[in-house]
Amino acid sequence: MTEPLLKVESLVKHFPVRGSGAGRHVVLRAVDGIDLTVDRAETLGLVGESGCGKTTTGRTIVRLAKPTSGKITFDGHDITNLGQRALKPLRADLQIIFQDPYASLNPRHTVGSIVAMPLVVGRIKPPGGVKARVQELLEIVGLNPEHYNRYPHEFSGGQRQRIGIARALALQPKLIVADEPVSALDVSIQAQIVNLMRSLQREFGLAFLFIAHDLSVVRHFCERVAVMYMGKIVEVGDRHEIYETPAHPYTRALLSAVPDMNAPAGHKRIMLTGDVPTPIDPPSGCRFRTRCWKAQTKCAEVEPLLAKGPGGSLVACHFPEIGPLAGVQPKTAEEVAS
Amino acid sequence: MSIDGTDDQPYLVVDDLRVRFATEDGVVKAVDGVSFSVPRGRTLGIVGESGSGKSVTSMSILALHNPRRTEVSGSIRVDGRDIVTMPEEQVRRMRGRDMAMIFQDPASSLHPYYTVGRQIVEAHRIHNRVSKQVARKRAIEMLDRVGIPQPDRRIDAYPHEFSGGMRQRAMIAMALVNDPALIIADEPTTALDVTVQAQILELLADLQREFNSAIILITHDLGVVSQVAHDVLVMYAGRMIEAGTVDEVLRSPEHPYTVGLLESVPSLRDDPDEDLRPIKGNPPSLIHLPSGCAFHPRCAHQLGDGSPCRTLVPDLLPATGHRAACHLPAERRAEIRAAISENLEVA
Repeated sequence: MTEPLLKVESLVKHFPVRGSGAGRHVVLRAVDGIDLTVDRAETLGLVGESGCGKTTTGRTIVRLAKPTSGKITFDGHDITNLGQRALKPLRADLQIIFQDPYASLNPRHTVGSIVAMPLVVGRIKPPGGVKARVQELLEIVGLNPEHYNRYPHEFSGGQRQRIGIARALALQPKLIVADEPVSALDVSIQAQIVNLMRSLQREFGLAFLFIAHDLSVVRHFCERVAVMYMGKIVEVGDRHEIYETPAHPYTRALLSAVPDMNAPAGHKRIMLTGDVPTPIDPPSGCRFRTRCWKAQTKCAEVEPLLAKGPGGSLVACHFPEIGPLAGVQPKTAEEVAS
Repeated sequence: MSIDGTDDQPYLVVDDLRVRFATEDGVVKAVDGVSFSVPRGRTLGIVGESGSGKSVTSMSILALHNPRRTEVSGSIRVDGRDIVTMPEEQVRRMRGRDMAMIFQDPASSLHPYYTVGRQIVEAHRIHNRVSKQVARKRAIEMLDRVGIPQPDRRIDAYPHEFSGGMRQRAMIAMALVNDPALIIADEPTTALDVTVQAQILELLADLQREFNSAIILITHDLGVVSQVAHDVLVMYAGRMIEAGTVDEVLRSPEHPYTVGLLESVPSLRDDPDEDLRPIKGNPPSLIHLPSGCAFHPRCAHQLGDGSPCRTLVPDLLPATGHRAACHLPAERRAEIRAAISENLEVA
């Protein structure tokens, strides 16, 4: 099939801001016109810092929030304005995994009933019964199926995230939106969950929209990566394009700020000054220009649009960077040998 | 760990610290025999996962536990004075003046009802008999020093008017307003974005050079440790399992847990098509600790049934320098290390 599984066009999500001046219509521009696609069985990473709109994008795509404008097409259906009832049959194919494994499981329900919930709500009778299917799911995510009757508090953070994953898998979805699924976990556990999602992705041919701020984790999970800044996608491309020859100055700054034990000695980091401006009143032209070391007058006047950049990715910048980024290159043959 | 040339004794010396809490389910041994020292001008990184006891250790140095529910033994000598046996009144006089804490979450550590300036002024005037005007001048200086633009105007702003990074800078200004010789930073950058994290870490390192302070940096992020710490202490289930300089511990780890931690962190330079290498299993309960080495149920190299790994708590050896608490013979540990060395000895 040539049509992508998920197609997002000019998606906008604004939130009204309370307590603003009399009569003035003030909005927070969380997502401000983005396009993205996810193919079947593809993994797309959506990265950016807090407040850039990545979580809102994810929530709008699974229609936990209503888009302000734009169009979302999922598996051939226009789901932009569907009501909850009309969405229900599509929910089976479109699931979400949340960030906080403590807040996303009802503490009064047993693990069995949490994982069974999508089946019950969807009135789905799996062959062999609900209980057998739930136990199978628990086994798939690496939990003991005999723990069916236990409550969430009896599990550690990593195990709870496995429960959340089992619940998302219950209806055999085509796309999972995973919103920071490992950022609340300890590093030794984080690696377990990333490996689990990788194996599920391969085994069931799942497509993932993986939302994260940790660039090293995204690199291990996603074939394509989109970088967001203040409600816009500033760069999108294949993994090697984004990590090896990033073209947007912001992508470069993000990558170079990652504290990496394996960074070669003398690795110079790009130090951004200042904080992210407020999304209520974003800068004119390029939104990154207030923190960018390459900004010129044109950047304030003309908003850059995504276009093919020097490194192969699509980049929204008037003065994109060319060539590899020092310090985050894959190891050279000599380094591996030494 | 190295000793600073100007003092006979390191500024902070912790010896055989044990912290226990009584809970409904039993006694939690949050910290179990921890010893280390930090001289002025040096940064010790304490690394561990949730429940390893790293935060409890730092809270005990400031004596911030509820004394009715907490049992603390051992000694914590700050500038030669033992915090553990000191009356609360005296500890209070030292807190903020000789030692200060930078907390993880600047949003919940600043009072939302008071301006940033008022909170810094108060911290200064508790320990110094100065007028409000003098203290205000000092607060503006500090805000300027930590990189807050227009400090003379921002001093009258409320915390919610600051961004996350600015709040963390304000917290640092408040912690440093009395020139404390010991600074404890508990996950100071975890709540921040990477680009802001880089700024804050740079600021801490600058301030240390300027004030020659002793810093304890509590973190779960080995990348952060490698960037700013001089020495490292790795904790697991309330115990020290490895200690040494950053180079020793991160480049040639001795303990299988440290090796496992280093292995499980994804890097920007490894092969992205390979699976990550996590540590199997989950961290233990501090109420029902595994016998012997607390890490043995998760350790891929443990010596099996009846071995000391399962029966004896390992000592931290040798007595000084690069130390580790593991029963495995040195040759075996060298093999484990060799298996990952290609990932560690880059550049």
